[in-house]
Amino acid sequence: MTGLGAAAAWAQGGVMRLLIVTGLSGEPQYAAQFAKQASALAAAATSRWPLADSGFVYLSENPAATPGATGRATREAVLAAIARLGGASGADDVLLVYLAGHGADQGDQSRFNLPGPDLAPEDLAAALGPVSKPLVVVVNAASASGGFLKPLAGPRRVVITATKSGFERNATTFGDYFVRGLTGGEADGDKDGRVTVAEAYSYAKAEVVRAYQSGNRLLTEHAQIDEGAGPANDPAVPARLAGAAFFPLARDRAADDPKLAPLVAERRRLEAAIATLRSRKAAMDSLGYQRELEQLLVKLAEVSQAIRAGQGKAP
Amino acid sequence: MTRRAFPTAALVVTALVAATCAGQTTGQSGDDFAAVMRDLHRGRAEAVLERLQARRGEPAVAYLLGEAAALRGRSVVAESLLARAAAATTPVTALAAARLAEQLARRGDHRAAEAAADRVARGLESRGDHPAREWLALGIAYQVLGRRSPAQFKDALTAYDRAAAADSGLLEAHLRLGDLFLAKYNGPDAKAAFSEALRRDPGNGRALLGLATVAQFNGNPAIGGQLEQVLRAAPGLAAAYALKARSDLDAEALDSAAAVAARAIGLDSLDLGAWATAATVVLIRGDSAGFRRVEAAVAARHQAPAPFYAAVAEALGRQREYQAAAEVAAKGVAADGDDPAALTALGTNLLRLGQIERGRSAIERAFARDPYHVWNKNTLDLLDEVAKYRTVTSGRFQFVAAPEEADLLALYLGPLLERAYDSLAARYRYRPPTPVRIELYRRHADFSVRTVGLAGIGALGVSFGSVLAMDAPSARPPGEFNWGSTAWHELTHAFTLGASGHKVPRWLTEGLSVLEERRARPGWGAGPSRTFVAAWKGRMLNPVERLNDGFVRPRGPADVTLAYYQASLLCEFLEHTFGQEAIVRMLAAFREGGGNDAAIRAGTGGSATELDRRFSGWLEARFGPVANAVGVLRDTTAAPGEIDRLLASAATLDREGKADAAIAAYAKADSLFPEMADADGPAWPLARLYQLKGDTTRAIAYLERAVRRNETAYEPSRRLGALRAARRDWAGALAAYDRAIFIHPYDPDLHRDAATAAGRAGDPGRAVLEHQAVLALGPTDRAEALYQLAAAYRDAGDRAAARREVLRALELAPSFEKAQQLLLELRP
Repeated sequence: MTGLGAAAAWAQGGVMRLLIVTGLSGEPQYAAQFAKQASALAAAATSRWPLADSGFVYLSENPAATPGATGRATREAVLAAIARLGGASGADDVLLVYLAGHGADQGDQSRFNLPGPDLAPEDLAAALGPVSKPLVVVVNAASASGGFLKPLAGPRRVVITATKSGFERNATTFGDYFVRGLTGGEADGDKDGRVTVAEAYSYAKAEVVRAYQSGNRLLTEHAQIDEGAGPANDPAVPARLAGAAFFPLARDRAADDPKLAPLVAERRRLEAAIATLRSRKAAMDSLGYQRELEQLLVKLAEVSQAIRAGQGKAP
Repeated sequence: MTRRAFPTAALVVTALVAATCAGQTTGQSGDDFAAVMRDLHRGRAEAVLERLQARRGEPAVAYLLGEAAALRGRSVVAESLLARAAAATTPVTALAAARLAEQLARRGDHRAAEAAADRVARGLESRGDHPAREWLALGIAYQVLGRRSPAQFKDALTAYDRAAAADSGLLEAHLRLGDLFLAKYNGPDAKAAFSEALRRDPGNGRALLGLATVAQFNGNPAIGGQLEQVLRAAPGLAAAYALKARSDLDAEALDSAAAVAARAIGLDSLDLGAWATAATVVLIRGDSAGFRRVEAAVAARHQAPAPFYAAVAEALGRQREYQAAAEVAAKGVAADGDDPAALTALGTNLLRLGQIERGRSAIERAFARDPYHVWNKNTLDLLDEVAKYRTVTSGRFQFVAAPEEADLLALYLGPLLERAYDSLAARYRYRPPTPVRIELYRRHADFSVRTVGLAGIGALGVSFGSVLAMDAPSARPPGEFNWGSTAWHELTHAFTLGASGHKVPRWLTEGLSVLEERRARPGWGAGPSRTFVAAWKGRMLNPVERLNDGFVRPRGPADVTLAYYQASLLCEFLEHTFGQEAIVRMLAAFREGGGNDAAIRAGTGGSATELDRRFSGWLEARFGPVANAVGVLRDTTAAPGEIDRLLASAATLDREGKADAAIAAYAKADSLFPEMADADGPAWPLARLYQLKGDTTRAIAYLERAVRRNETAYEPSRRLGALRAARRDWAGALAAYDRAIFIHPYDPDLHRDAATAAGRAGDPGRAVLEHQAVLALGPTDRAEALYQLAAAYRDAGDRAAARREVLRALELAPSFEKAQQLLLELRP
């Protein structure tokens, strides 16, 4: 994970709000695919993410037949949900908007297909305009979603689309891997028990390529990301927002245990020291770097072992 | 080279005279002039001389007589006659002057030739309007000048186009267009030009010859019929014999090549192509004194015979004698450092010898002098691409591959080829120079360019000796080829080429390479197919004496496939009957310059005919028992046999869901030809059907047979591995996964499964290798891959390596709990 600034914000009590939208499916196989992504996100959010009260909305094509759905996925419902969730979010919070479905490119106009009027990037941009406080993450995992990237890009926003343009119209697989990455452990590259949006994005992008290659198919979806452009000198805005928005794989119960507080503090200190050391790697001689790194890593391993022991876990 | 708009301002074209009066040209009727030219195009120099001898005092007639003399290589006479024609004022004055320049160039007097051509060009460029023959003359002059200024080749092309437009009946213009296109590697336009000439003059020898040359240029090995047609139409055309001699040489028919080249030289002693073939034959035979005699003869006729040396070098390269080719090409460059053909031959063969920088330098020099050379353009582009590749050194081998897969491929090829090297060195008593360089190309087109300079070659690999090139497994879809057996095959060539001084014929080197593939691992290499047995039944296989024809002049692609397997069987028979020593003696005989007969006698003590008789008996004993069940192949007609019918029936039953009946039919087919190695054989569907029925014992048995008969059976190998793993047969699972990896090594899950199987099978070293492979694949979860590698090292007892890798994992992921625990476990 990178982006310690935002991590600290979450640790200081920030919460997240989640809007899931599954659009028109067309065929049962796609309905099942979108529902699977949505239910995995919902399960992770409700079980281990710091979800705000009333901070979860799941809009579906057919809510009556969709377990967990909170409403019908119409353009108006989507925009209203953004207004409500965004308006309730503070500066330390994260708002995640996840769209699973099919998209279309009509002329130069991208669309996300919904029952009734489709959703245009301009609709979303307008709805998100007043949402200035939280870090906003928008993931459009639909086909032909590339046209959503630029209109939605902005400060304190991470925008991800499954395709590079509206011309990539084939059904996508990016969402499957992104959700798997965000909710499972495979994308947690630094093994810190938290998956950042950046990690999930990189994981999904690589897995999509691997899946197409192993099937000997031409790659027809090229995901892309915009990580926003906050003021460079504003320490509250990490340079790489996608590395700042993280999603825990499990609740960190040690942080809540006062007996373990000194050890947890020591662990954070060592993690920070290692991060600092790594940032100096290029300027250090190799042997000195390795020696210092090893010392810190051994100490961190010992502290982690002590924390696990304090939690009654096997060493 | 393609047509373009007229390129320079040197010529101002006004109205073109569509039809110049041919009759005015020679003082004869147009029909007579055309008749003389048609005779010349058919190589009938003597007929022309006889017809015009009485009028030799006329300047315009002198031109035609000069052409006839040139056709016979009488350069002094030809130049004298052409000079006389050029000095007088006639409609062919410019043409005679241009042809005189060309004749001077033909015997290597480039300074005089270019001066003469320059005069022609300047004289004509000063006027804007030209009759057809002056456009023709201008084209010839530009072509001569193209040697020092390649852009003028395009001017020549345009001038020939103008000549043809001005007088569409001027066959010489069409023929020269064809020759120029061909010289600049544009086969389609050359063919169109020659075809146009032939349409206007059916039976035109030069047009027929041009079309045969285009066919040869396009890589069509079966130009024998076309050459016979050319020789019937133009028995006096030396160039036709020269082309046939080259074709015979490429077919490794040395006696015929030498005889036909001699005939070409007898007709035209200035034909450097014929001299080159004669010289190549004596070099292949190890007759260095003979080569010096040929050099002297050429030097007497040509002032700077770089093209001769270039042609010899190219021919030697086609005969796989790369070192000799480079040495001869260097002589060409020494004779004329500006000759692009000599520079190309030098560069190409240096690259084949692994001297990349020197080779590149020569190719760059050649390309600067001939920017239309598509081979050189492709090769330079390829070298730019290869410059991005990474070299991994492993023991006696250097693996050159794309950076993202170099480590992965070297992991497997290193140990495999070390074993191959030791095995082959013991068997062939020869050790190729090391390091052996192996280039693995991600794009088949790149491999093709590396091999023949052009895209489109059908082969998977090539051996230049201690330099091998092949498709990387990523160059083809999974299941299309086995990169392990291919590498083994190509390395075998390095041994048989080296042991024979690069004189081994195709049949023997390919036969041994396929045999060694089979010996390397059960299931690798070609096996007995229904097609092969059907061809054997139909007497479609070549006898031993003509086995090489299946490689060097096949009737079609199927012939080549049959030839590979047949040759491998002959090698197997030779070993089985006469012992391995027989093969070593044969390679030595070839090294000493002996031909096929001498080598076979050295190996077997008998003649090729006797060997063929005994081999036929061996084939009868081997395939006779299954012959009745297999169809028969005659010419292009295939009659299905009982097995074919059973397989078709079984497939239908399978599709209809009648599993038991399908199994019965497949099993019956299997019992009729248990060795059957066809990809569509019954083992794989039987395994699938038994697995569906839940009978994993039989499924495993048939999967085993499927993978042992087909080296590219990827899915059966994966499935076999999974079924064996489920039964905790870890060694068996690992063997199956290993087969799959040598077909398609890019699935990390396959390597993880192999690592698990290796660990459980008590092979921790192999588990380490598999985790290294996962890492080499650039996994998304790199920290996990490093941790797994560290754990594998720990299990293998290498604690230092384990500690190194776990620290690498933790550097990426400091809070990685499993790795932290391993680090603490590994504390000193």
